[in-house]
Amino acid sequence: MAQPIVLVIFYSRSGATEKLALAAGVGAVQERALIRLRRLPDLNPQQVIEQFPESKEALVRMHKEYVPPAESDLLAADAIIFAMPHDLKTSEDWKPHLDMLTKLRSEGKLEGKLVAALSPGTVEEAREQGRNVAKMARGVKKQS
Amino acid sequence: MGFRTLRVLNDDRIAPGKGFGPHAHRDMEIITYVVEGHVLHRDSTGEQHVVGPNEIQTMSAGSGIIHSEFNASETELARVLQIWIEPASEDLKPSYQQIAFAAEEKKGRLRLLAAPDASSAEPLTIINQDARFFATEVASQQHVAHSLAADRYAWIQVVKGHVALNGQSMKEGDGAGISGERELSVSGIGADGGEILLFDLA
Repeated sequence: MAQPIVLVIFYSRSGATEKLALAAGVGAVQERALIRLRRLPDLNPQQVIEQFPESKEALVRMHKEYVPPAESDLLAADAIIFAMPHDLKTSEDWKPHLDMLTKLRSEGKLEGKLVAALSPGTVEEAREQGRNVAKMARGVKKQS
Repeated sequence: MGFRTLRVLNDDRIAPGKGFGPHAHRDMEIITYVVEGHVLHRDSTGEQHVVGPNEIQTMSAGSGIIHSEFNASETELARVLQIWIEPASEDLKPSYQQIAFAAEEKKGRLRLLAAPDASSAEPLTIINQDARFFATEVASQQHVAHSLAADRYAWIQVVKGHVALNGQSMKEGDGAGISGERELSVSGIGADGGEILLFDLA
């Protein structure tokens, strides 16, 4: 049986939302999905670090560890989970990625993909949501 | 590759400040053996550790784990052997172990570093598979011996230098899968001898 691919796209500054994104990813892996974790970028990393010195350690690490979502990630995914801090406004930095989504959708290339937004909550709840998305993605994959 | 339950043995050189970003594993026993430098391990169970030479990191991916491994230094290269062993059963609870040993403990003798049970008096990591993992450094002309039980197999990987395995010479990066042999003898050859990993496999 082909394994569904679950793409987790997140943004995190302090590392709190990253934890939830990781938990959702682990949930999807528990359901035998393959996962990709991608962080929406800070176009000027140094500026964000200076603006949020209390998150410096987490930011430096995440800037090093993650790459932003590429078109190939979106095309390969059977399901996409967004994990975003709820007190955050959309950043101009993400425009290229949001434009990419809009373009792919207008071309019909996102059809049949599941899209979910992670609700705020505990790590356990995030894991459960990841599990559920992976289960649904497997169901959709079976039918197609 | 893939030999018995030994699935993967990667010899990675990680540039300063670089590494492997967060990615997932399921149902795999993953052992990290650092040859030089230091790596920073982080995983979704909350573990965060620096691992260096003469230390062993064993991660059981079980039902699912996400981890990253980065060179802990911004200036020094890290060389790391990553070993994947298939677990005896699926859906285990993810876990992490790390031990340190003295460099002398692997000189001229096979130092057991991972096994399915804590049968050795020395600290080791426990893996969920009938496999035993040893490391040793043999100086030139020095030799170590290992007996394989009937129906056991072995994999030998040369980490550094030059050795002779039952008279056959091997160099850094060489590996040998062994079946149908009961007695293994590894001797250091050349000026400096060598360092090897030995896996005793079902």
